Amino acid sequence: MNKKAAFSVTLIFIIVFLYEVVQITGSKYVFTTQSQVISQISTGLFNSYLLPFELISMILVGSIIGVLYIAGRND
Amino acid sequence: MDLFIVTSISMILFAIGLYGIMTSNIGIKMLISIEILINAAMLNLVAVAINFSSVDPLILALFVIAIAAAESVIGISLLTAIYRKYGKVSLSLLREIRW
Repeated sequence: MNKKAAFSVTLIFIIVFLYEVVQITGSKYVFTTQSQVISQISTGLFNSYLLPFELISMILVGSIIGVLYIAGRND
Repeated sequence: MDLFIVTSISMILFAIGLYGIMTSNIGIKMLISIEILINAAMLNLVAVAINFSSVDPLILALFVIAIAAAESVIGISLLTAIYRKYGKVSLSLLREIRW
């Protein structure tokens, strides 16, 4: 494990990301809290994002079955 | 709070996860680092979503949470299988599936 290389890569990432963040935001936006966000989330979750919701359930069931197959077998 | 502060926190979290995943040889540590990476990306997403007062990225964040749970479960099961085979959890043991 080369810690110096990892640290330098992380430092380069921080520099690049900080440059991008300063350039994009410019620190002029202010958070605006929106009322009834929860109801909008649920409405979007069950209207326009219904298919990904169901696919997520399928993925979870598949991962459960795969985990039981991988970790539950006795060699 | 400004968008810059939250994005900076996200950047710091991502840097911590990146350093952890590059320097660790232990499976549990790498899984924790991956979780930190996912949480940093999701924090950035939610911050931008609230800033532009959009709801769709928040729904996407819910999906990201579910995918991260599935990924973590699969990683834990793989580590369990490695432990049963070798008796300890060290990713340097897995030389056969490396390229």
